[in-house]
Amino acid sequence: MKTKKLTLAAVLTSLALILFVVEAQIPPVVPIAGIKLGLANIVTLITLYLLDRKTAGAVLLCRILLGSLFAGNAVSLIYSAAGGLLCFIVMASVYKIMGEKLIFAVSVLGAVAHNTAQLVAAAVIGGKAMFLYAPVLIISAIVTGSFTGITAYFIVKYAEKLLPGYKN
Amino acid sequence: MAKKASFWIIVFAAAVVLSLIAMFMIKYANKNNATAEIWSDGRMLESIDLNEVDEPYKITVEYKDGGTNEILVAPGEISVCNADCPDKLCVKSGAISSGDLPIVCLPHKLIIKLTGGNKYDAVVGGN
Repeated sequence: MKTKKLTLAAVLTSLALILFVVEAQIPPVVPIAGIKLGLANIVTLITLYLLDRKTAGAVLLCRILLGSLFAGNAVSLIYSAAGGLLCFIVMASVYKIMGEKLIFAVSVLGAVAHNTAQLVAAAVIGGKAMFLYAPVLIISAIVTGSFTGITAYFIVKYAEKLLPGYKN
Repeated sequence: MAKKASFWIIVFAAAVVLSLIAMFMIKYANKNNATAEIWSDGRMLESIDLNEVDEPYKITVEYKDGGTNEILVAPGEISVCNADCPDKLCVKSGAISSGDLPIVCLPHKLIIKLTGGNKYDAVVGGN
């Protein structure tokens, strides 16, 4: 891997980790597991659009593993991995087709996928009653996904100014 | 059409509206739920008819790893009053007395839910 790309990927990973850990310190607004801002997903989106799929996957994987070490436990690792995996599969599949203008849609779809995977994981562990939380999680995903998506949109749009010469 | 931003905005807005409707239906449905079931790790521990409860009392659920959840059973409602799980979302959920939303403690695999008290989940054509 070219050094510049590797460095950029490393910096993005650190950024994702910081966002993830800081966000984990915020006390839950709503007493429902899984509702969070998902700020680290901004980084996944940026990496997809500015670099490529493989790098984005690697950055995500590192963030999930290290993030659980820094600010999580065994249970949270499973939920994080499940959510992150499905989110990435969805986003990596559609981001090229959607293009830059629809980053917010990619983000929302990813967020919905993330919450759905976590919901399924919770149901496997705790029973079918978990699915009653589906509407709340969908709304949360759409709202937070839009927010992170719009943020990612502006960063990608002004990437040349913010990261001069990032295009190796 | 799927390439236009407006398409997706409409799709997401519709999804939000539908979810809101579903949420209200869930929360305010089933006013006859008087029986609370306490499930741990997929097995039912207790089934309590909340209407027959006169005095509030507490149930303590203990786990092999040393964790505990303290459940407060009161006339017509049930809640988790104490827990040593990391997030304490179960305690913050408050009490449930009707509707279908359960109280959940994910780290301890504990679910408290309300049912109609008979074998069936729903009775069609009843009173």
